[in-house]
Amino acid sequence: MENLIRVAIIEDDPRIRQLMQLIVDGSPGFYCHQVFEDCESAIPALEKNSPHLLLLDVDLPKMSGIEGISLIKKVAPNMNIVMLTVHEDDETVFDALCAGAVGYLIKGLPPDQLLLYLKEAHAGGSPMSSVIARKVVRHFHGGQNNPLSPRETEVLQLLCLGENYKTIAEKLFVSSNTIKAHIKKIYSKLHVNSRAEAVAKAIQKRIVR
Amino acid sequence: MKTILPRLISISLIFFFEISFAQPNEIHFNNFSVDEGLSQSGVRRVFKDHQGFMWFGTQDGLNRYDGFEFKTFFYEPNDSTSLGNNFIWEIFEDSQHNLWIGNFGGGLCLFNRELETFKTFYPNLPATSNLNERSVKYIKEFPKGTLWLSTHAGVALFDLSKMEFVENPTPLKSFGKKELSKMNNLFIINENRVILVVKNHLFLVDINSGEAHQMFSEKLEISEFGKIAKHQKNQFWINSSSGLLLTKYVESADSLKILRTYQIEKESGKISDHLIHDIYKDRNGLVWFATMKGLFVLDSKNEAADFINYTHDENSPNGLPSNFVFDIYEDDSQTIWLGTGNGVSRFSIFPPPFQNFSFAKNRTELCGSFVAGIQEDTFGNLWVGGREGLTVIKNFDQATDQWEFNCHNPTNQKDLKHKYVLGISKDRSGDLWLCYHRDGFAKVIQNEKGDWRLESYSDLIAPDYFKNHAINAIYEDRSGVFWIASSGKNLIKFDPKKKTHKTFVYDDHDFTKLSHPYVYVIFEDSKNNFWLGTAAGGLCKMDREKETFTRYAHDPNQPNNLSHNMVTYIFEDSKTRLWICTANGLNLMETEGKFKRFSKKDGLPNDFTYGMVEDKNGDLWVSTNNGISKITFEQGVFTTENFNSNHGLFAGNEFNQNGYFKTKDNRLCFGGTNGLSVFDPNEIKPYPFVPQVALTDFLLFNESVSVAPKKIKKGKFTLNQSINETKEVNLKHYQNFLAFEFAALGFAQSENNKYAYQMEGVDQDWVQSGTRRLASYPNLKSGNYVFKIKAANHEGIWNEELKSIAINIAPPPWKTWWAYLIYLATAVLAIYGIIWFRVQNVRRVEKAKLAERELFRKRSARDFHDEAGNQITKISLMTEIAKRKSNGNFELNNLVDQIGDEIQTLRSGMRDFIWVLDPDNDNLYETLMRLKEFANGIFEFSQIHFTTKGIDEYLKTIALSGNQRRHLLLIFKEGINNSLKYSAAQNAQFSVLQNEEIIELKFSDDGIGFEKENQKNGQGLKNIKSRAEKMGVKHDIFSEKNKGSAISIFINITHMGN
Repeated sequence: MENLIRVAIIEDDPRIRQLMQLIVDGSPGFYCHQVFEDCESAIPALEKNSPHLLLLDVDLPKMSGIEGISLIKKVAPNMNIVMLTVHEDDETVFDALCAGAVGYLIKGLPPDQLLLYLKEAHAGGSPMSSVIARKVVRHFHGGQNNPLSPRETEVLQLLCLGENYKTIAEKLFVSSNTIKAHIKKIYSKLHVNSRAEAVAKAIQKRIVR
Repeated sequence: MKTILPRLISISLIFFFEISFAQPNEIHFNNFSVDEGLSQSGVRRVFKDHQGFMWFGTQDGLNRYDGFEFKTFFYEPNDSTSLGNNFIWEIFEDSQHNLWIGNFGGGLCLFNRELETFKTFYPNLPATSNLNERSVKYIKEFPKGTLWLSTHAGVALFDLSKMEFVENPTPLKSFGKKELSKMNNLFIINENRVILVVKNHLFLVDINSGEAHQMFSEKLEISEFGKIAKHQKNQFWINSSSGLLLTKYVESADSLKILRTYQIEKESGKISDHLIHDIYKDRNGLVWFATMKGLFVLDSKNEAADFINYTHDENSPNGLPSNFVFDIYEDDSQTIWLGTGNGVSRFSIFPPPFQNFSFAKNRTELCGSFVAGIQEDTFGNLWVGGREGLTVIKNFDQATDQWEFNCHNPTNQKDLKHKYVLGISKDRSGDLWLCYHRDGFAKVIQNEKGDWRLESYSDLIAPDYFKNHAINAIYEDRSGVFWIASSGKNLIKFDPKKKTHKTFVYDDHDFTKLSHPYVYVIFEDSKNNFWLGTAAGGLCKMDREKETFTRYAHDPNQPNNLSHNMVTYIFEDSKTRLWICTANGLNLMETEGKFKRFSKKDGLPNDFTYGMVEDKNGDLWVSTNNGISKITFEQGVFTTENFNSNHGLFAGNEFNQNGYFKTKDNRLCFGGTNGLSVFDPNEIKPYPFVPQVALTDFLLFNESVSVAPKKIKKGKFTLNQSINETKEVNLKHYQNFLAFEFAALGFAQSENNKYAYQMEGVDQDWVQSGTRRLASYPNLKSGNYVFKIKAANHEGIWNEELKSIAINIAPPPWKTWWAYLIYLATAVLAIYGIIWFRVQNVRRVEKAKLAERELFRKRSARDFHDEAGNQITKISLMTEIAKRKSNGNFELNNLVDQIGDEIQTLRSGMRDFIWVLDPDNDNLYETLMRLKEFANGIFEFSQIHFTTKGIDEYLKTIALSGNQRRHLLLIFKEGINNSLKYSAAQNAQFSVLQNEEIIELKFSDDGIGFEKENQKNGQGLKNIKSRAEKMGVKHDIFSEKNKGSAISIFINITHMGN
């Protein structure tokens, strides 16, 4: 029980929800007993019992995934949130990352890959597509001081060029895991940064008003 | 005896009159002097310049006259541009229109018309420089380009082209220094010969050689030579101490010959130069002499003619103003101007249609000047009554030179009871009746030769019955009844044979009786109405049967009645219209008792009308107290044409009772206070001379603008030249209140000259100014205008030559061309700006729309993909579960795997589809990046080491269409998939190589390769081929056993375009 990765899922489509639960739960090393159809019902439950990983659908009808992230983070701060999306280039994915998600998963992925990514996400190394990388770059350029370390910036730039972990690791003469760690760092900084920015924006708005 | 003496006297008188009659018409002098504006009364020279201005040189100042005002020029001691001296001797205009002034001691002065200043030239003569030398008294141009000057101390020649005096002129070379200094007279005969006078020696000089011969030395002891003037070609007058010599230059003998010597005054002793100042022969052949004893004239065509002298007479205002006559000048309108000791005098030698007869010092045709009563007898004689006697002009119906004037008074004609005949009537038999001012009337008994005697009727009613009363007329009506119109003794009917009579006494209050005892006129009209005009009782119509009267008097309270109660004449014209002349206007009787009035308002020269005659053209002539008037009245339009002494009608201007008559041969006679005037109305022609017009002043804001040659920058506007010389005036925009003053240079009747002007740009047509000489334009807008002016003479004949001047008012700075340019530029910029903004707007809108469309497309596709994606996810998951539940069933497992693969392919294809739709990805770089990520994903968990090479950002510039991208992705994805599945390679690479225009995209691995011929691969290869074709690119596939494989695509950049 201790080595099992506990996963929760918030997905509005009942079939997908059911199937995913079946697959995840039925896969060795995973335990998935918490499934919700929306954030509202998930939040109090997660407060009581927070899993390692939360798979959150970006496209929820009521409270959106992004809104949900901030609330969920409050009740379960140590839980890793991974966004479920049909489309990785969605603007909402990036917003979710800014809001605090540590990664994203493409729904339509072959299940074995899906499970692989889950393991990675749990380990803390979510993939970042070049599109997302470019958005991240743009985002940080917008900010005052670039909070990224030079190494992280390097990694980010290589991600922008579409390189994968292996090649980046080769190029920088480090291991893949180092790279994954860097990416994780980038995500958290993104999260912090965007939160700060949001706050600043709010303050500005208050001042303006 | 009784008859012989008067006849003798008549004959002698005839003789006397005959000579004196063959002479020019009476001269009516028109004078003006200092009172009218002349600077001084001693006028030594008169001249008219080419512009039409009259110049008068006086002893104190030079005057220029425009018919209204005198502009005088004086010598100013501190102004070198002023006249040299105020005593003017000579005024001359040369062939180039330069005006030269000769004066006493002030040199030769040239007038500058533009600035109205003078430039003085001093002759350099051999005599020591003195005043005499600088006194230019005579200037003549001969030949063209050379001026000859005669001073008091020598003769000089001036070269007009060089504007300097000629040094040592040839014609003077025969004369020594002393002689030259005493040379005081010259006369140019022709281009070869000139007369030069040195003291009392007269020389004939050859101009070209300078040879001189003295003339007249021994023959005549002439102590002095005076004025020399031209008579005709090669003939001239020389005034000398021996008399007036009419001299001829005989070319063959090259000498002078005296044709005849005249003595202008028989009794005088020496005649010197001082006596005759000027000699002039006019166009009619009369030679005029200006002397210190008046004006003399000689008819040179008449051998026997004698000099006639006109002298100053205190009592005649229209006579010579002074006996000192200095200058004679004939201008271009047949007017002779005289410079006299008392101003300027002028008279016309233009033959007027009027023949005037009077009684004055040298004209004694009539008994006296006061004429009343004119009648013609059946023998062709004209009988003229007047205050001083009865004049009978014999042979009046024949040529003028046949006329004989006989004056009769009680002294020489015993049966003439009274010298004052105030009316001469004619009865139906053609006999004349004389109406006396006092003492009754008489009948003229004429025999077949025309000799006559008088039969008195003074005692008809009683002796001395008419002692204190005048008889105005005797009238015989159609029934042979005789009537007497008397002043104070009522209307009297009488029978001359039976000597019976009946008086119709007036009665103030009985309106059926005569209205007044003074009857002026009796008239029987064509309808047998019997009319009487009275002195203060208006008009009466008499019913001769009933012996009652109807009176028509003036009633101020009623309109359309007789204008005045003094009826002077009643006349019926050829259109049976009845006209009544009264003391206050002319009346036309429209219907019985209703009169239409005409007065000065309607054009008559005066309201006191005396009488009327009708000429053979149907025009009516009325005499008044201010001349006569030719009137017409047709279709309600009343026209008048007035004549007075200004036209040469000298009998008036005041005419008299009974002083009007039309002769059988249609000549009209009018008698007035100054004699009798006779004329043929058809001979009256319009005054042919039309005046030139000149601008005399230019006013800005009602102030005259002065001429200042240098620009005095005091803000006051000045002209560079005198306004008449100015062609163009340039003003600022605020200088827009202009006026022009002008004058017509026609002096016959200056005050009646008429004007018309037009300011082009303001006036649509000519503005008829009448006699007003001012045109003003307040508030002119900026612009370019032309002011034109023309003038007509006093008879309204226009001189179509106009004077024009351009006026330019500059636009205000904000209206100038460059201001407008700025406005235009601003406007253009504004329009440009607006257009640009709109274009930008449109573009933005377009862009937004486009973006929106794209976005819509993207979203729709995305939405679809999401939908489908969810379905696929479900299927994918279900297949996984199915797999797990297959429980070792190998076949089932396989199938499910395949399903799973196909699902992934589908998913992948869909994702690519969405990706292709995004316009941001429309270039090669994005496409290759995607490929790279895909490959990375594929090879990540495999043994194959995948690298890329050459995917650089510059590839962003290569655009690919959606389809191309799709095909490209599919081609390489296939290759990548195959590589993963079958190659068992260790390395795989995707590379981009650019070779000039060709970019090679290559995917290669170092695996086992594949057989091309292999059917399994055939389909895939076919796909690649067709996809490449669809892309429009070349491709290449390499594969060898164990040597790996490669797929290449060649993109031609130029074909791709942008």
